[in-house]
Amino acid sequence: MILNKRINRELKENWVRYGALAFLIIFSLGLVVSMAGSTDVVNYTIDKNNEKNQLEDGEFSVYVPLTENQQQELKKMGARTEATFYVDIPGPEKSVLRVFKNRNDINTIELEAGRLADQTGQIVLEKHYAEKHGIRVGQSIEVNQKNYLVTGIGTAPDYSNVVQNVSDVLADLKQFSIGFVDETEFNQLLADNLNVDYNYSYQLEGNLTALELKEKLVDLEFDKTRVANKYMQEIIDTIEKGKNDLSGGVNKLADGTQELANGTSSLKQGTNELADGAGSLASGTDQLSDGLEELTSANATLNQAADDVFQGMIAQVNGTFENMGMPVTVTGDNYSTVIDGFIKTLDGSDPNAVSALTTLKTQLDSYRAFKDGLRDYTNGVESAYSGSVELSEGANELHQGSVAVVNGVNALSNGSTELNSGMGELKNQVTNFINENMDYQYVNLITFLEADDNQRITSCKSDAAINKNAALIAGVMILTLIAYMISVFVIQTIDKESAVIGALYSMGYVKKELLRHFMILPMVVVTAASLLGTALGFMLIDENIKENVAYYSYPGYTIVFPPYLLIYGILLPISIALLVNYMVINHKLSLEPLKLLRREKKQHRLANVDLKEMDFINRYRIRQLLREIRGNITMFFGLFLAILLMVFGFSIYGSVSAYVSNVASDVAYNYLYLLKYPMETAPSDATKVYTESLTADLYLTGGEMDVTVQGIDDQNPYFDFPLDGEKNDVIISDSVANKFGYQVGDEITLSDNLTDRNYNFRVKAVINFASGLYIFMDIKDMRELFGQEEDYYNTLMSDQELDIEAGRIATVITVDKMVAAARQMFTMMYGLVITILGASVLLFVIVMYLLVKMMIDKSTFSISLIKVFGYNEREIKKLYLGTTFYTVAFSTLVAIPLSKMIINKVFPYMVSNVSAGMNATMSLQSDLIMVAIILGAYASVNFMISRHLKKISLAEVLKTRE
Amino acid sequence: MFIEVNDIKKSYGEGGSYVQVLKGITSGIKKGQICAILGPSGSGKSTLLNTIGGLDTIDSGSIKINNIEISKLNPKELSLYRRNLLGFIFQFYNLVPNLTVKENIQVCEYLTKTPLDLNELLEILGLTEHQKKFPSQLSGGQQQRCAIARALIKNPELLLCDEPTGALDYQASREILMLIEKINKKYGTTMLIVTHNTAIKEMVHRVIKIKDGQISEDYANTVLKPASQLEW
Ligand SMILES: Nc1ncnc2c1ncn2[C@@H]1O[C@H](COP(=O)(O)OP(=O)(O)OP(=O)(O)O)[C@@H](O)[C@H]1O
Ligand SMILES: [Mg+2]
Repeated sequence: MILNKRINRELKENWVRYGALAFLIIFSLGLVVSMAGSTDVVNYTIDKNNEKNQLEDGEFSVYVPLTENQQQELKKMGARTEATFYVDIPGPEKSVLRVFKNRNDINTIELEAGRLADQTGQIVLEKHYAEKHGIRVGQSIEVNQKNYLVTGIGTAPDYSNVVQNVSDVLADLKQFSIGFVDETEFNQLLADNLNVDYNYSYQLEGNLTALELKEKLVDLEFDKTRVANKYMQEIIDTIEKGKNDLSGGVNKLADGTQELANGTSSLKQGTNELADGAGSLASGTDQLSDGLEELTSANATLNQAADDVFQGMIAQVNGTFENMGMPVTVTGDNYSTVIDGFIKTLDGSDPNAVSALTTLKTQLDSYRAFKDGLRDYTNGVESAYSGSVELSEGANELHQGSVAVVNGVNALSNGSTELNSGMGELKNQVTNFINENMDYQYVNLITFLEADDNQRITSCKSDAAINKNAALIAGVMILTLIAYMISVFVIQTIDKESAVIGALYSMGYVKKELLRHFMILPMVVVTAASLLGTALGFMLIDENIKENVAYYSYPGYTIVFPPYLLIYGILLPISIALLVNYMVINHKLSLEPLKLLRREKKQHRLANVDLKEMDFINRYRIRQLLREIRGNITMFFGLFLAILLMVFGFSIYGSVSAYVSNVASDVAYNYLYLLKYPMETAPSDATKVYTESLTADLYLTGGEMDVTVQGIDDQNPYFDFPLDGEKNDVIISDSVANKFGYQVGDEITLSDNLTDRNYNFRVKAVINFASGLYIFMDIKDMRELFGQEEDYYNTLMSDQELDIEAGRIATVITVDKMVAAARQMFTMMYGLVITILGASVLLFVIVMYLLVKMMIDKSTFSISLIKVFGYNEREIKKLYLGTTFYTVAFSTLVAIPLSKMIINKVFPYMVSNVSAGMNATMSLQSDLIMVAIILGAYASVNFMISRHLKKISLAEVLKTRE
Repeated sequence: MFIEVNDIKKSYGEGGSYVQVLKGITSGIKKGQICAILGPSGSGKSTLLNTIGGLDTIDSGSIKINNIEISKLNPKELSLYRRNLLGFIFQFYNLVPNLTVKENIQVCEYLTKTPLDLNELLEILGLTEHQKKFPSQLSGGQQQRCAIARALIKNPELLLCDEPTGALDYQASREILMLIEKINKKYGTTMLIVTHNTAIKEMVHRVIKIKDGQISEDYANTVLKPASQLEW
């Protein structure tokens, strides 16, 4: 169609306009496609690598390594396991290197250079660590005061996010990383190092679930004597000591009885030989006294041991009740009533429970019988002893009469009889009791972590996924805006040529032909721009992925072209443009030909509002604004989008910098020691705290996230909130409140994934504590809740570094480290912030320029006319650019608060994988900067437009007809 | 009769703004004739022309062109009717600004399967040397010649002209009128010319004068004065 020849010329005449729009499309698609594309590349690379290198399904750690048989047993169940024991040892520049031995089946090493270590004295390093320390294959590195030859550099799929602890907010690639040595070397290291983590990776086969595996691991027997860790051994020893004390007491008892027997026979002999002389009697009584005294002294230990056992048993019962969800605490005195009460309430409704309870009660009863018997026995010993004392006195008073001797002998005889009859029975009872009731259930399992919950494995992908979704959504918004802007321009063209179109209609052109014609240009522009933009996006993937590649540890990537992204980058913009332009242009071309010929424009009703109260300038401006209401509304949406982006950029900046400064200001202690094996007595200059790690449901992702519950006491100098209230009252940090959406008064449920137990708390208050995800409660309540002893603790807070054996420490958190981590997050976000702000300013300026220019173009005739009337440039600027100011001011006033609202809602989702709750915050300063940017952009557009205004000649009015 | 209009009535607006523009117009024009429609401003000349061109509707009456009742056609059929039968010439040319003279004419060449020879038409209209120019580079008379060429290229049976010389000076106007005359002779095109220029009535076959929505005078000329001899 010959008419289409005008398209090329139209394009040439308006190259600024179409060029700018194409630029916007190319630019935004370039950003979006490269962001989404790099996510896909990361995902693809990681998935491929995970498959190739047999990523684990999960991992667990134990106190005592599994035996060969146990591993076989697990394998039969459907869980292949591979030991991934490690030691954390010092590397160069104060770094910590976690050293593993080479892997065979699971989480195998992906080498990027060199080869695996296959002799002692060789090591393979994680690639970022090697790079940060400037180490290459063939060089050597000093680890743990020993030189190793670096034979290879690579990555491991279970450490794509190289964090030391799974709950760390960020990795510090220079300070911590992983390395691999051969088996012989590793065994040497094990021999040197006490603090080995017995970690295993597993892969599930068949129907076995992670939960079933975990339950199996909890039940696994293990050899207590093989506990290699001395601190763990201490704990086991304390428990075992109770047992030993009891059997020791019984043995002593037997010894005492033997001596007593000896004494009694001597006594008999003495009485028989009473006549033989007082001397032999005296020695007999002495001997007897000694025996009985020893026996009596054993009584205390015996009773103490029995009591320990009893308390242990009561604790077990309480634990059982808690598991069953029964909210009571039984004691040695009330158990009978309490259990009877339960049996009564159950009243046959649950026969299993009734029988369990009955068994429990019988057990406790039998124990009490034993305790009572023990008490009888000690009473017997005591009366025998007092008898012997009497005897001794009697012997001394021998001369005072034989009656006393007879009495004494009788009393002794009674005691002895009682004792002898009880003795055999007692010994049996104690032995039975120890065997039956004192088999403490040590659980070997320390941690159990599925791969999906392991941020070392997941965070790289989830990190990328969030960026991708945000980018894709922003992209659609911008594309829609652009498509709409294009249609606005097309409308302007149609309006300008309306008489021509009317003429064409009157010659017999039909709408279809003209519609097709007017669609071509916008579609060509959009198609070309989206092809270019998508191509650019794919080319920018390399640039975009840099940050991810530099932070996460995975092998080199290959660019992929996912089909959906081609659809998104090419088909979607084309479809949006097709739809928007079709609707708008079709509507415009539906006017009757006569109306088009007469240039009859549908005047918006608004354009006729009564403005007689206003002065001329304002009236004129408002008329102009209303006449161009469509352009102004489009401008509003464009500026709104730009401002939304700007607010987003500043919010990221604001929240991350607030996080940095809050971490520094909220945390009052300088050192936090999480202890794996707390020592009996804590250093006096440290504050004892009890820490448990639980998980909470995270509505943002539908998954779970770890929270740290800390039990503190009223004297804790680092916190100044009161701890009174109900037993299950907790005080949560604002970080937790933000992350999980908790409020004061909420009932919250946290769970311990290892024991599958749920704990309910009530939020009493929210306090400022930005770092991590912390919940605080009274340490006494917490010990009770988790069944710990009165003075239990596992965490120390301190102002200065503490001198603690390294083997006891699980983690040391220093405020400096926290702040450094937060700062690092800041640097990582910086690029994104700059990109977003840059894009927003570009969008702002381009949208505003194009639309203002279009409105001026439409008014060329009247501007020229006004010039002819004698208005000067200043006045003309006032009349025509003043209206733009109204729109910009209005857009700014509406868009800033609205954008903040939107971003506040959306932001938590964007940071949902960060284990800290961050609010979208903007400082007043950012607000001011933003307004300044907007004003600056407005001024520069104004400048460009006023140059354009100057160019409108007086002759325009003569040339054109309106 | 090629054109038969019978008692057509047309009004605009409602209530207070109601105006009866055509108050019962009846006439007929033979094929191949030039007819001038004269009358004071606002009398309804353009309205009549537009209704005949199918651009405007009528309230009552009938318009038959070549025996087709066009007041009964739907918009689609109307545009087909215009496409096949009509050529339009406007006071303000309405050329596509970013197409050259030749291209502007080709725009309408596209509408028919049997166009006239473009080069011949350019020659007749004296546009051969201007054919590569854009409308903005032409004088008013040249633009109107281009518009005429555009209207004629598809060899319409009926050419409707609304004040074709309204924006032109004496000399240019006369050239246009001479062209119209020439084309009528050469192609036998029936023509309706709405004009204020009373001199035109001497060169046409038929004169219809309208006043206040009604025909005040309707006559045929027996002797036609060549356009070249018109004076005003
Ligand atoms: N769309 C419309 N709505 C209302 N009134 C209209 C409309 N079009 C024309 N009119 C009125 O109809 C009347 C006739 O208009 P028309 O254009 O036919 O006059 P004309 O004879 O061509 O005048 P001129 O010589 O000035 O062109 C005028 O009074 C005009 O105001
Ligand atoms: Mg008229």
